[in-house]
Amino acid sequence: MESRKRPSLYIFSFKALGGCLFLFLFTLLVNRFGVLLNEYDDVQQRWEYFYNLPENSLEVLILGNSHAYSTYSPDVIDAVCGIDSYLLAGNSQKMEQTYYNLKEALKYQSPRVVVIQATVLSGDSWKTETGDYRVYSNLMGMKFSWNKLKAISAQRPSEDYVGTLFPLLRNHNNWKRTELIGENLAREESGKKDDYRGFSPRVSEMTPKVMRQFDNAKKTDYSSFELGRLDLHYMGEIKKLSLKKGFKVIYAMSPKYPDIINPTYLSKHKVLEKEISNLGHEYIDYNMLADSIGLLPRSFENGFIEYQHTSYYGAVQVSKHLAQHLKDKNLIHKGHEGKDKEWIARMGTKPEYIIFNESRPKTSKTTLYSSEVDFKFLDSIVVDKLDIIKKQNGVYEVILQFKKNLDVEKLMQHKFYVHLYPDKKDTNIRDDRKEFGYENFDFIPVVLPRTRQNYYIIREIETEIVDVAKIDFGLFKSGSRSERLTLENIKLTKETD
Amino acid sequence: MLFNSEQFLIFFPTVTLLFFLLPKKLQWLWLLLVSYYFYMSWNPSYAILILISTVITYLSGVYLGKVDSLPLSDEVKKRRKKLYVSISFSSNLLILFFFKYFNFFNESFVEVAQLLGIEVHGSRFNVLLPVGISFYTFQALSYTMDVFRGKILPEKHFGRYALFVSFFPQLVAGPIERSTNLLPQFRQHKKFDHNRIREGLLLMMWGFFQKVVIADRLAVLVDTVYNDPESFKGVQLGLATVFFAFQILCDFSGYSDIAIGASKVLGFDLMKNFERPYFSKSIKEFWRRWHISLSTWFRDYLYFPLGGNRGSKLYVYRNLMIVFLVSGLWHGANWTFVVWGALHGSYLVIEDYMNGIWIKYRFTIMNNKGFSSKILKVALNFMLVTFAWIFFRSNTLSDSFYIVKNLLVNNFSKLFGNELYTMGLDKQDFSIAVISVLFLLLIHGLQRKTSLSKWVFNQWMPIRWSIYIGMALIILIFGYYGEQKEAQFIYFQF
Repeated sequence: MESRKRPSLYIFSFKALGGCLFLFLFTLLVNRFGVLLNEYDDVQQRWEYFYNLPENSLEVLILGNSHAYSTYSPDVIDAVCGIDSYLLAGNSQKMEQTYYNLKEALKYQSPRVVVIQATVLSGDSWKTETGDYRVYSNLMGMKFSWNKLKAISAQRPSEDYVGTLFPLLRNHNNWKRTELIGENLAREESGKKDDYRGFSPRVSEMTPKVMRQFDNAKKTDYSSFELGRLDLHYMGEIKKLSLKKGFKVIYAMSPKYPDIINPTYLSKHKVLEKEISNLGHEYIDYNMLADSIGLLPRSFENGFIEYQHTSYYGAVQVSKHLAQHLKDKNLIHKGHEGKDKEWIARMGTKPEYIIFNESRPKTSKTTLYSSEVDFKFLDSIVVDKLDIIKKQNGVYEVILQFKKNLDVEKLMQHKFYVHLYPDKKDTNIRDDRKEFGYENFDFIPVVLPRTRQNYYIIREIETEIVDVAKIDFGLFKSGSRSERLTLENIKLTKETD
Repeated sequence: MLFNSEQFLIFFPTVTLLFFLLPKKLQWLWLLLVSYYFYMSWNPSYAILILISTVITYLSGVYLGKVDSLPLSDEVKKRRKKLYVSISFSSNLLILFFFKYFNFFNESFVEVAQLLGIEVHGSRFNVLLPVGISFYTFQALSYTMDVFRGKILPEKHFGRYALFVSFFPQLVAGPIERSTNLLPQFRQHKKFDHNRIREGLLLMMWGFFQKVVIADRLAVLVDTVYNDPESFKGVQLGLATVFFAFQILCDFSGYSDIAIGASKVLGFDLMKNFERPYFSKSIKEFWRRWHISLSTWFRDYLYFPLGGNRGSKLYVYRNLMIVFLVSGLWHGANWTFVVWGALHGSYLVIEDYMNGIWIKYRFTIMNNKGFSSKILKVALNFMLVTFAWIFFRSNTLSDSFYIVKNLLVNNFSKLFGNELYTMGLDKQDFSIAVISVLFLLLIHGLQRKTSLSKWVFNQWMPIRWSIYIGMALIILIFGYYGEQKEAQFIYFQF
């Protein structure tokens, strides 16, 4: 009997399956080497942490470019509102990328409010030969998805699609940088990390270069400002998404020193306000609110890192305002409000700007300085104990433990100033720092919902200075200053102990 | 669109996939369209030139075919055929001459006139050399000649003929195909053939390795030295020249392998273009292994019509010199190429003459078939070929003479220490360059006795896949690309 011939289609399918498997394996390896040879940056880090968040755990999602990640602190918003928020921003991001970031984020989260930093609305597209790094950086952390492909096609010329999708093609020369590969492997092996919400605090630094930047801050003429066609298109798409998914959209414009002092800025503000309200969305312009939140032009010294971006100090003021706004307008759920232990624990890991109402947890970090001080800033704000501990090389924490029965209301009316004066040794300070007096770590405290009467506050200090002549602590508000607490001759160790 | 560009990574799989999905009737049309798209990606207006060349040679074929059916005497038929061939050749060569050689001859004429004290003002045409014009012109002309000689019947289907001239894998840098081999293949229905695709892709990968890992890396050092030769001496010039010998091999052989591999994937067989040329034991053998499609073209369409090996030795030597001078000029409109061609012609003449003497007087310095004798011959041959490359690579004749003059300056210390890495390649890239050249030689050595592709295909699947993936990753990671635009293939300029 003649044996039946196996249909050729079967063989073809088997081989095709093998081919697909081969391609899959190959793509996987190309991707793996692409990641190993890539320079990890904060934008990638934001994506990585975002993907690790518990699903549908966010109330507020903040999107945008560098102005967003220097200005809006999810930690402050969370502390004020008692919620969980996240900031997913990148460098020089434009509206195309912001839109696809939002679409991608909505696959994992269902926020009630989406805040979009309005500087992404520039009218310019990155679909040019320039700006490659920033587009690559914005896309690198996003998982392989339809959104990623669409974001690539929206921003890169067709001849660069493959190169954008596969970072190995543009980073392959890093095979020579064994230290980079080592760092990437080490980071992967180290496993999970601190709670990180995407905010990048920046320290005010009044160097001669920065002073010149402020002096020469360009005043763009906004009198004929218009939104670009692409911006309007993507704003419309975001509107559709908000209707479909049921979230509120707020466009927020972070403060920018040259815009605050620019007389033509009002035209831009009006155009944005009109276009955004036409879509039924809200617009908050912190250039217009700078006065009321205390970011006066004369306060640029501690409100801005340079003439463009807000410093940590300015960021907290803006974030507090934004948080209060969300709360006042009932845009968010009541949140944890001190009931959720996990949330309290999460906030407990946050340094600076939050006054904790728990007893200070014991840490295993190196204590560089510890003293009972019993110092009165104001009559009812008494510091009981002051510690300086080392977190890692160049990163320290100053911890102020307050006496019981702290007058929180009074404290909240003031801001903290922390000025670090270097001992003027050549090895201690960089050339461009020689002309200025101190490093400024001013901050505004935010109080977590209280449950106990023990309060302490931590201020993180990131500095290259080793020999400190003195550190001044104090409270201030418009027109008045408290007594000053001064620590002298502090030695910060350079190496990890 | 370069083979080593990201566009090609999208273009080729798309073309291949749709090609196999299309019915037979449309396959040729699809390939013709994408071939023109491929060519027009450099400059859309170039397509007019290739179209003109196609129309002329197509019509010459049609008319040559018609002559036989006319009621004319053999003599008149022959004359008429020669007329058609002449029209086809002269019009094609005229286009080639105008775009490639007009400025060169014009400038040379002005220079000679000035040397003689005659004041002549030459005009220069600002035209870019159309990519691959020498390749497709020669391919189209070979068709006219083959129809004239009766080796092939005239192609009546204009579309298929146009595809023969413009077939994208070999359009811009060969192999220069013969109509007898390629044209009939366009009439066949090409089906998806797993084995062919596998073979083709492996060959393409080997081509990419040669181009991206070896040639483009060596080019950095070669360009540094050859673009400013007076800053270098002795061993530096020698190193750059040896590197160029491997650069041009890997660049051109790499291109040919990608072209042959891509054609194989689509179901077409192209002729072999390189056969481990640096393992040749004589210049004659070298030309049987180097750019085979061009050397056989010159043999069939120039050397034989000139008389070939017939006649006295002097007559044969004259033919050889003519062929190699033309070959030099074919490579580029520069006297450096003419000298390179003349050198190779002279090598062949001297080699033939010496062979005659050796045979006549039975000189046997050593056992001719022994291993050491072979090694010595290979080394000597490599030195001669490499010496000729000096003229091929130099930007001007005066640069060539400077290099030749300073080649033997003793500065061996430059080979050691950090000075070695001041010629464009850092330590890591230099190491990769040397290792990859040694790897190439090892592969060429192994290929003498066995087909490596067959060996790979006979391996157990996990080993086979590891080889494929490993090779692809080596190309992607250690390839020299990305920082600048993709490097052009050297032979595109010819």
